[in-house]
Amino acid sequence: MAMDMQALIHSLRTTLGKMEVALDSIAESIVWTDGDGNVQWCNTTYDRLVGKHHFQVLGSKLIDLLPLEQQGNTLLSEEYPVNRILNDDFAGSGTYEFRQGDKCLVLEVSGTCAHFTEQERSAVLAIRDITEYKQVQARLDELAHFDPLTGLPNRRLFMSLLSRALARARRTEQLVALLFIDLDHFKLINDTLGHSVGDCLLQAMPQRLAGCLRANDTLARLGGDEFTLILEDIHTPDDVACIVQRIQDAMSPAVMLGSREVFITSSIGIALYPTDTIDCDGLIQCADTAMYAAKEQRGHFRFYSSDMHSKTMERLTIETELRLALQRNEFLLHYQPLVESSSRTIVGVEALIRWQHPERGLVHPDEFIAIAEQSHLIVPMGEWVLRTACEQAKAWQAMGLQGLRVAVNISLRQFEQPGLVQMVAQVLQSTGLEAQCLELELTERLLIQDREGILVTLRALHEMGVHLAIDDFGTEYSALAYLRRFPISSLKIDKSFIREIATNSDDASIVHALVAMAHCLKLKVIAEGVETEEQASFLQAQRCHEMQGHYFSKAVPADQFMGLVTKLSRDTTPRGACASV
Amino acid sequence: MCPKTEAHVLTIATIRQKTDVPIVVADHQGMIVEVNEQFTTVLGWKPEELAGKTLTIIIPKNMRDAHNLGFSRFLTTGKPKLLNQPLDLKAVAKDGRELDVELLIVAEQQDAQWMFAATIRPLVKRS
Repeated sequence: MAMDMQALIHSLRTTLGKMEVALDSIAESIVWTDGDGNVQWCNTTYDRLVGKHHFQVLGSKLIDLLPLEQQGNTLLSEEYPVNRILNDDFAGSGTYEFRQGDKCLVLEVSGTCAHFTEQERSAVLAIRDITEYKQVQARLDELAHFDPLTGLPNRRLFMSLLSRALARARRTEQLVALLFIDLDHFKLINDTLGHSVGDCLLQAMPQRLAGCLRANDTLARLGGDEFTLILEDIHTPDDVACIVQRIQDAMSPAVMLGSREVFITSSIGIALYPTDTIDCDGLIQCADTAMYAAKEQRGHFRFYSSDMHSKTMERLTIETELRLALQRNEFLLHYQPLVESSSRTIVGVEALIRWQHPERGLVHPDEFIAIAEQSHLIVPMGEWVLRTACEQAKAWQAMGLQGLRVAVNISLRQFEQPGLVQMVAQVLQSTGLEAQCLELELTERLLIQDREGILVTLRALHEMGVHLAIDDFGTEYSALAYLRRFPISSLKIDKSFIREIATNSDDASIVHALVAMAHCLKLKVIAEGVETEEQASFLQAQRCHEMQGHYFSKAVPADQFMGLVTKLSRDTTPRGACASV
Repeated sequence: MCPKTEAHVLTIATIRQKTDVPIVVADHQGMIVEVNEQFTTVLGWKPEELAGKTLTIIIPKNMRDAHNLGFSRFLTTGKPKLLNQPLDLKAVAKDGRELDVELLIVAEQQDAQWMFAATIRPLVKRS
């Protein structure tokens, strides 16, 4: 009997021993208390949870070890989970925030009250630490609704904020203004100064705009450099214009990006609820359309108007068709001769793009170049033009027009793209055209940017032997400083000056001065838009080097060009204008 | 003052020699084998009242689960949780009072059986 008891005790000891090992090995905290909430036993997981040694935990009150994180009024001790368990007033489990030293723990508490004897009650608890889980959840929630770079609401949160704002406005019968704010030339900053600089700029935006906004205005970032602003409690469009003015004023001081000072402007499109439309998607579209319209001038703001919409639709149609046109080979080049004034012989051609639209027929570049530039289609398009023109010039040279020069227009966008110099070199190499037979026509707009990158590109092209000409000279800035700064070889005087030279003495003086200046700077000067013999004779007398215009020929398809050469050389002083466009 | 170091050099033999501090010795089943005079002075129990009794008699009710589980676990696994370090706990005096004490328990194997000895220093509670 005594031996049986010994064996039983031994067996129970082993069972109890295994129990404790098992309970110590689990990730949940197990703890039980006496009827007053004093810890009678806990596993080591619980010791770690409260950050105390096992013997310190034993006998302590649970409420002292792990007080509830209190917000506002002090909680009654009856509210404490253990006490609720002991009072049989506990739903089985619940999530609570507890204070543990300097940490706030989020714990999921499950518990039951065990009545071991009539007098003896015990609260038995299993506690899961879900602090980290909650943090991850909160972080995910943040990531789902906020833009990590700027901390602003992202597109998703913006959408729900906008629909709530519209719902409020519906009730209060007030206006809501939706602003789309786009940073001008942001892509350029990203490309030239690097993405981290671009990111700094985006991060600085909320601070910059903070001063312009009222407490309940909502600024969000939809992605890229597109910010959006929801303005509520608006009474008239003037209220909006006022805020927009403040925004643009706040944007105007230079931003320090690293060691650089950068001036930022923004284009802002504004749509109004319910004036323009009454639903979220529609309002967004209107603001976007207005922003595009504003972007045409940059640094401006525009309210949405319905005709913008049809313009946008047309723009979108053309953009889509342009994309297809490249694949379908719908572009072609026409060539307009460049005639040497002294000999009246053809020394070059300017390649001009045309679009053979399947339904609309031949489309003039005025109708699509701006769209191609905005959509960056100009880059592949420009490369196609250059390649085709160089191939053609080489072919004509082989047919006897030795030294024939070909002029090709290059867009600002192409300069913004890296690799322009390599592209030109590659085209020259593959077509076999000599570099000095290629002239690239640039706009004044490009040169006044006065950026280091452009200078480097122009120098590289110049060193390659390529001629650089300024197109439409005199129409824009005519800041003469850049003529010396950049390796320019020719000026093309805009046709608006040529038109009146025979009849308007002011224009005649301007052309006279321009030609004289070009001579001083050792630049070749070319007159565009020559339409009459009077104009041609005047320009010849002024010692303008070359001429171009309908008087000699309009731009013609490649297959008609050789015939033109023959005709012009036969008739060196042609009388009577050629057919006009 | 470095109790941990003291614990390392403490053996059951040295504990048994102590006369200035209450001590208790127990066998592998948790039965009390021996207490000293100081133990009787402080806690009121006479040696003959405790001989053959389990340790739980001097352990407060609240601590008994912890004792039973911990003691069993140590016997089963040989891995201590509370040995060899001073523990501020309570001991039950004969009159039922729970005294605040600093307990230091050591264990040794003697003839393939565990033996336990503890010093029980009364703590003067500062108010």
